[in-house]
Amino acid sequence: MSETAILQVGQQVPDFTLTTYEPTTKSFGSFSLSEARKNGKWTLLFFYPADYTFV
Amino acid sequence: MTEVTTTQVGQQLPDFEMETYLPTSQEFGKFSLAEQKKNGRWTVLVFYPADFTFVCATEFAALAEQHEALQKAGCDVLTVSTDTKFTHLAWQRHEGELAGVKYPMAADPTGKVSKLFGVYLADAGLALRGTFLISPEGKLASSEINQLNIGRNMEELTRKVQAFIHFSKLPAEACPAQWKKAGDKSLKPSAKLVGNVHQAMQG
Repeated sequence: MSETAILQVGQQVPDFTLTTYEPTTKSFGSFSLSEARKNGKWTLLFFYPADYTFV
Repeated sequence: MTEVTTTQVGQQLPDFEMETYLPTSQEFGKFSLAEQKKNGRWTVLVFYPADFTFVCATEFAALAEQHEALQKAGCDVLTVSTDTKFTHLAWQRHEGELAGVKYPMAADPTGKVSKLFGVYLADAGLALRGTFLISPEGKLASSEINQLNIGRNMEELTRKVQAFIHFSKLPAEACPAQWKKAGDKSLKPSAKLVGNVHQAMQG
């Protein structure tokens, strides 16, 4: 068994940012967790393996 | 940020055992992952914080309704908390919501198994609401962990387990979103399918 370190449910997530593509405006943007927190929003991150694949 | 180490989906789990209470015979028993592997059975572990509490009781009733379908698909169900098998027995006999429970209730009073799956809350000595699917090879196939105040959808659990078992026999095919049952459209990944999933799903 190899192991990976992860956050446990209930713990504080450190701030992070990601660059994004915004389909509604067809432009690039960014996501910031601290911004989401400032605006009092919940955030759903939906990970997937790769673009141009099937499932 | 503190961190916990746990087994990642896709990885091999070490063999482990737990004592159980068996509502069908009102006896005590034992769960062993090595035994499950030998019998070629899938296993779903349903962790919950504590016997004699509230959301848990409704989850047990919902899981009891799905038990037969899960068994039929080839998957054994096991609930796990850090309570003892004695408390499991007392709760199952007293709480009406648990009257229909036929699956074994496993005891993890040391938190050893809860830690293995990353659901052990060290300060409380309880387990988070974690649901884990283990393949007959002993690999972790699926993992879901919720905060304590939100109960799980056990119909979705059955759908997911059926999908895993169905597609484990079809290595060239993949399961699209919203798949419900054998016979629904599946995907056969290939160079031709790249960028053409929409057409394949419509066709």
